[in-house]
Amino acid sequence: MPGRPRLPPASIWIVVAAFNERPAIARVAGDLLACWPNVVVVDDGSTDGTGEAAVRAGATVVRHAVNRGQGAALATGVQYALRRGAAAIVTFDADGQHRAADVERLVAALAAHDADVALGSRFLGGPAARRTMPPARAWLLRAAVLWTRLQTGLAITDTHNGLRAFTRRAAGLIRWRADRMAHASEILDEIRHHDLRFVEVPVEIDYTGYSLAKGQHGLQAFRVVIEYLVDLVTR
Amino acid sequence: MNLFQWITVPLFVGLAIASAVATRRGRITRGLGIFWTLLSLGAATGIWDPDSTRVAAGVLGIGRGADLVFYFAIAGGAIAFFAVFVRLRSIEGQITELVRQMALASPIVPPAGDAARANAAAGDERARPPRAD
Repeated sequence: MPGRPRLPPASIWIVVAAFNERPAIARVAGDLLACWPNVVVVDDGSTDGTGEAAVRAGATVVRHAVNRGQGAALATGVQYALRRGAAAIVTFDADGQHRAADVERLVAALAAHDADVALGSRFLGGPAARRTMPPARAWLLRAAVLWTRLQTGLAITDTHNGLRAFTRRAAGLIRWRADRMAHASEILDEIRHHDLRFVEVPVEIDYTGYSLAKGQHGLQAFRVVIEYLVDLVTR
Repeated sequence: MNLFQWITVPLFVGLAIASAVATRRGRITRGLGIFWTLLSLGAATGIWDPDSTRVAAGVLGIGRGADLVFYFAIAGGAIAFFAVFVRLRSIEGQITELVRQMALASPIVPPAGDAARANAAAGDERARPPRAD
């Protein structure tokens, strides 16, 4: 299988968008910094000291003065990383659902498959990878997969997994315009639009009471769809 | 003419004139200016001569003049709502870009990585405050 040389860790930036994640951010940042030297937390207008906690944990922090949404925060983090010369960028959730060890898998997959984008998938890792997933969440995500397949033609098994890796080129090509949760669909649209090579990588998601409380609820899925459709027409 | 017509017809004529002037001075786009001018003149005409709405409705195949006015009001409201919504989305995007550039101009880089992590692990509340980059 053709591939590229592995990127050195110092050339990789991890972007963590965080809004009021003070209980989790120190551990998340600490786990990432244990293996990767470049972690930027985008504090999206938090009011609970998330930014300060991230700095104390050793992460670089870029702070939005007001809350603009996860999509906007990730776009800010990506821009920061690109300005710092990142050769690859990994997005990582701030609520503790993702495992730092999976970052290595995504980065390795970019090189091994000569891919532009590596997408984490909780559905490729077998039942154990999603053992704590609420059934309603599983059905909602499957519906999202079907929607994406109908809308973009992309055969992706997990369309709303925040663990993704991009090469510098891909991160620069993608238009990061959706401010809120519709960014997940927008990223897939951009992958299709720019004909980017992508690979899915099995990752594990840890559902805890804290992360479930912070995550999207069922009805918000409709808002995501509406935001996405509105963005299609208005931007 | 009744009192209602004496009050509203000049108002709508005035609005039509104001729209035309604003368009000429570049304060609103030509399309928007034409829209408001025609709408105002149409309203003035309909109020001045209520029978005109019946004639217009008949031309368009609609039964009653009142129905024509109602349909135009619905359509006009929908168009106006959409225009405002698009404008709001644009402003939201500008706000986000402004917030982003402000954030990127002042990143907070912590002290030497090992020291910061050790302090965090020890829960040392006396860790040095971060310096701005």
